[in-house]
Amino acid sequence: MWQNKRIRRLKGSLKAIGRQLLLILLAMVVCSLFLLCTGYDPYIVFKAIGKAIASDMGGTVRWATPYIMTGLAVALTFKANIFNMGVDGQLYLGSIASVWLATRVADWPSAVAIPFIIVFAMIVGGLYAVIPALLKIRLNCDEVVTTLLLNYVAYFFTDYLVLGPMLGGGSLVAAQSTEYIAENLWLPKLTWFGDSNANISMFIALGFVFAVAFLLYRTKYGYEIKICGSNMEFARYGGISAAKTIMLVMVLSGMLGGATGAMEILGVHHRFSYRYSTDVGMDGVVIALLAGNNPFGVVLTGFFYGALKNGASIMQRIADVPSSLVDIVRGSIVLIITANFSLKKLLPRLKKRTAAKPKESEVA
Amino acid sequence: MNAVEMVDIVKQYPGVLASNHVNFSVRKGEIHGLVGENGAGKSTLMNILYGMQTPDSGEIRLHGEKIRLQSPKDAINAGIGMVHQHFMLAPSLSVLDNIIMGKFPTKGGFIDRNKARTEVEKILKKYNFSLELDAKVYQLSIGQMQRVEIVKALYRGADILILDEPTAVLTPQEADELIHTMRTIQKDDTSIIIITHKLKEVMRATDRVTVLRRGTVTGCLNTCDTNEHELAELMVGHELNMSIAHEKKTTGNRILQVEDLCMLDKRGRLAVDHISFDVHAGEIVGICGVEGNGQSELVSGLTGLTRPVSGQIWFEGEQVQHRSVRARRDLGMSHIPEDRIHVGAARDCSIKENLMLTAYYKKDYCKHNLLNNKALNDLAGKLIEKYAVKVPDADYAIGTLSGGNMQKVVIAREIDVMPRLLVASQPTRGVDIGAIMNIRGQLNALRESGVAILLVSAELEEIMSLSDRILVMYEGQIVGQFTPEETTEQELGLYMAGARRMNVGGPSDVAE
Repeated sequence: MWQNKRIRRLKGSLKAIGRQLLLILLAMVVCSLFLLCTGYDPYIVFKAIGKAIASDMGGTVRWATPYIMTGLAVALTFKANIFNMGVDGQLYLGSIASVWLATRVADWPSAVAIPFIIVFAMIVGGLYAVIPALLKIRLNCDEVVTTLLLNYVAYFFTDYLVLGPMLGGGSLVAAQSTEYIAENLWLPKLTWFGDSNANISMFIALGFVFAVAFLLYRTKYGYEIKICGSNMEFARYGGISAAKTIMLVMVLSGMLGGATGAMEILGVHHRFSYRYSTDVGMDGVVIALLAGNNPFGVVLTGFFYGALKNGASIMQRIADVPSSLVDIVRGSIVLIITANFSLKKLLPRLKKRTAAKPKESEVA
Repeated sequence: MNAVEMVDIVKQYPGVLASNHVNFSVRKGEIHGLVGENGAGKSTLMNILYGMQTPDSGEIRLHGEKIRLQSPKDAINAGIGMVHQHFMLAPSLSVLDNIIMGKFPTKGGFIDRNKARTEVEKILKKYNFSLELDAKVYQLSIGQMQRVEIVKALYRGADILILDEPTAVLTPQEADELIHTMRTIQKDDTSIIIITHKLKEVMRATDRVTVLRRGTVTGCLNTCDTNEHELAELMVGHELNMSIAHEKKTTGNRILQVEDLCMLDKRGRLAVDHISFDVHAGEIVGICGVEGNGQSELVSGLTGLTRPVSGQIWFEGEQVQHRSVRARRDLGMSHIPEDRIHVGAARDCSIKENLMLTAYYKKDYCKHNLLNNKALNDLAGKLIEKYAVKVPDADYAIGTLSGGNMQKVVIAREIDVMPRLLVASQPTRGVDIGAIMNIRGQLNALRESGVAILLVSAELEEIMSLSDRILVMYEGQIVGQFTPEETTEQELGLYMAGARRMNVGGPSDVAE
């Protein structure tokens, strides 16, 4: 019995990974078809991703890190059947908060200052997520809409800060950026991959993966999240507070978003420049979906997304293919994921219809 | 000639024979009542006629011609229209658009609204109906929405109209209007079938009536030749007594006391209307009534799912009407919900996760917010064994279980926590005979061990065989109070249908 369970669980995991890979592969094939039509090398996507992994692991890891984080943030809310589309906004606020705090704790020992900055960014991101959570709990506002719109509030607020009170001097004015943060606050780079932007925030991200997995699978909150996500009526009937659970996942998700911002600033950018990050949070939605909301699955899909992002620039270099081609791959993935979901609903219906058909001729 | 003839229809569901060689016919231009208790097979029969389900055997003839109905579309094309209990309307669209949905005249590829409007207006004029065609459906009253559904069916050319529990959602005045409407339509040689369990309306509105019980036709009568008593008897039947040895014993302390409770339903109407009663330890109080007379709202009020508008609920001397579900559960209240699939279980979660709902946060299973998975696995294993749930192991999704097995999971979870009060709502609905006996046995054993039980059931026979006291609910009020020895199912049926009522005070002794 014990062994059976083990085997079944293993089988389940392998199946999930297989599904992810299949979806990714399908998306790449679709993209290749498009390339074929337009006269480019149809294998370029495969080649670029191969190169991104084989010869520029550093770049891939650098991008995988924020993708794992945002994927994790979204997956956590999806587990409770809540949608946090506002990871980007939380990330922006976390980023600007990190820069702000970094200028104030620059002379602290880095072992104290760095965790302090990350925690601060998490608090800011988490607090920002309280707004849509409260709106959902008190007024039953659709959190998809509120989180999406709050992104713009965060964008414009940081625009104001970075172009106004926090704008750096000298050449940074033209670059529309804040001052650089003190060098002792920069996260150490990972040197194994040669010269790249990969840094130890990768390990922080993996730490968060384990933390979220622990929360989901080992604590009572994880159980409550799962029950709420599976059947809200059942949760209410059992005495689980939906409001508490919504608040919990939203705040934790916002904290992950905030942490992502801090990690991007401390690890890669070292300053906040005007609208520096593009849609990492939105990509998190696709990453979470692709991973079936499994925190460990997010590592795999986040890594793939990192390779894709990194491959985009390589692609442009080796084949003069516009890097926006990557958007087509992403689009295809979204399309295929959603198609996969609707197929699940469609297939039984189609089967029923074909089964019913021969009988219809009898009627006539 | 008969408009509808259903001959020897058999439909078997897992564990339930929903239609057992049913013969059913409706004459042209008659209003035919189809009555029976919940689960008697009325809906199954009508779903078969409307093409939503196919019978295992038997045939359907319309106007003398044999026909096979594979889908509602076939049925609509054959001139059958159905008005469901829950309306299938698009609230944000206009009345006209709702009526012509699915069948509209076109001009150059566009909907020809003018032509559609004249066609619909013709129908309205013919039957002398008033309907504002440009109003949005959400602005209409329930009665008007129902009329839209009826006009929609007529517009599609229905000459056989099925109305499923048409008065369940209507006010008495709206119900009167509906009966008037049916009479008008009938004059045009349209046949109408109404599914109902309100006997009064059957007597008032129909020409003939067919009674179903447990999937079999127990009578087909001319309405003018029968009466409510006879119909109630046919509905309930004199069947072998499934009751269990039920020893009278003295009851203990008052566990639950309800005083002047008022609850609203989802639409905001008063569903529970100043109800007072009590339940003592070691006693089963049965609440019977036709579905939709406030029982569901009463249960959700008692268990904390919905807040009452007024009144008090006392649990062992403590006021609990403002307490949360969890607080009431911790005081010793358990709840078997009437809808086990949507409320009583999380379908895609495992059996273990379903079983642990009432225990996971308690100190044996959870320390410092960490779940003790070993203890929880042991608990799941123990419950599966003790309550004979037939599953390979606790990790299977509960959605894969049969109704009876799923109910075993629910009951195991709710009674293993040693409740002081068990609120059991339709505990044997949709489970097979074996499981019914098992569940009733468990309820009785709980009673003997001193648990107070409030049993809400639409099965009169269940109420009769298990209860120490019986309360009848009609339109949100308690209209009768009996002991099983001093009443009969027929008598209860009359109270349930609103044909009789007694003046029931609250609990006999309000002050302890």
